[in-house]
Amino acid sequence: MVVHQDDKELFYLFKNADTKESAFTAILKKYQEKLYWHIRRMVIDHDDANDVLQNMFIKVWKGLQNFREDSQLYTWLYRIATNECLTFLEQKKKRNSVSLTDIENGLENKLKADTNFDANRLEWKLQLGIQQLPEKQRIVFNLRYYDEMPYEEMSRVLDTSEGALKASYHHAAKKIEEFILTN
Amino acid sequence: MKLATDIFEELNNISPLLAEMEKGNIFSVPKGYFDVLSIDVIKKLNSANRDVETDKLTVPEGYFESLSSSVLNKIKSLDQDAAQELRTLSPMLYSIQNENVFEVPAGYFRDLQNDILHKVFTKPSDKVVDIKKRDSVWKYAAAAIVTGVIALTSIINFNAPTQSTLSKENESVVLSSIQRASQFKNEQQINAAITTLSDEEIIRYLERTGSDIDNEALTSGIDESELPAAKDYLLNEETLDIYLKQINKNSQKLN
Repeated sequence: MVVHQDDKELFYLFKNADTKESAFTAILKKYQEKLYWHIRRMVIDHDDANDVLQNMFIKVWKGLQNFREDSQLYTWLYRIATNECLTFLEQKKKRNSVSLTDIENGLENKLKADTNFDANRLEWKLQLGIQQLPEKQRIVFNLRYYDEMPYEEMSRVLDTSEGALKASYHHAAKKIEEFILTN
Repeated sequence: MKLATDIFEELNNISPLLAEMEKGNIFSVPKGYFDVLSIDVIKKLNSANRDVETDKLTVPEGYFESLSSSVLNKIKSLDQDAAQELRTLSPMLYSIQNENVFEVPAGYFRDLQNDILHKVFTKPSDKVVDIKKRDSVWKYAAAAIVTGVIALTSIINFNAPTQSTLSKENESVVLSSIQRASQFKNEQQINAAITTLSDEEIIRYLERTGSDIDNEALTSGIDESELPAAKDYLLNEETLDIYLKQINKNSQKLN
């Protein structure tokens, strides 16, 4: 289902008690896939991605009333989704008392456990290369490469300067290339 | 699917290999997942809201009114548990746990509050009397006086005729004095009575009993560490003789 209403209109409808639920459903339908894939590329597992996405939308329901209209809804949603991903990975790390490297290895193992996994195919190598990146660098690469997000917006999502994001993306792309060439 | 032009050019400058790669999606999602996602989220949201509302309704009526008594009951039951534990561990200790071997002076707790308040609000310029020091001085003075009285009475009884030398008039004065003195049973009562005396009465007393004050000055000048224990004054005649000689010697020095 494609939602054609713009974010301002949806937000206006959300603030009205009579149309609140329908407006929320429309926002959800409009952004669910983009946000799902953003989350999925971070946590790899579908069930984990589903949990993070649903929790994230529950927070959106509770917090949207206080959303400031001077920023874009789209940016705000990505920011919440990114924070939820990082919180989820952090909790997982604490729960299992393992280092971030172990988590990354776990994500890599999840990729390899996929029934469609083929180590010789470039797109799988690319994913394995992305999993070698530090968490924040991985987010930057995914947002730029897959979501094609402008640096200006990414800067608002990650609360980081555009220059730092460009440098991070550069390093990430170089590391992935090296990984693909050597594996 | 190809990258947007600007993003492609940027990546091409960094890594031509990555830029030329087909941007495919290797992940899959369960069939129809996105069709039902919004329904699932709304369901979860409603369920979360219901839980919150249910929680509000489950607080029993009058819960907060009875909370304090419930907590106190709980504390009492914990105390009972401690007593029960002690009973199990040692029935002997349990049987004596409330026995208090210590005593306090009569009316101590009744007067304690006033005593403390008095001390707190007493002006710093007021003279502070060291009760302990005065007690120790009076202890020896009293012992000496009692000893003197016993010795004097023995001598009088040994030499005196069979009849009492006290006249009827003096006897009644002594008796009334004893009766009046019996009103003051502790130091606090004595102190309270002293505060009721006028300056003239105190001056008259000092003039009449000036020698007693000299005695106090004498005894307070004695080094207590050289003195025998108080019980020896009365029980051991030899010690008593030494002590009396020492007092005489000191009194001669002073005179």
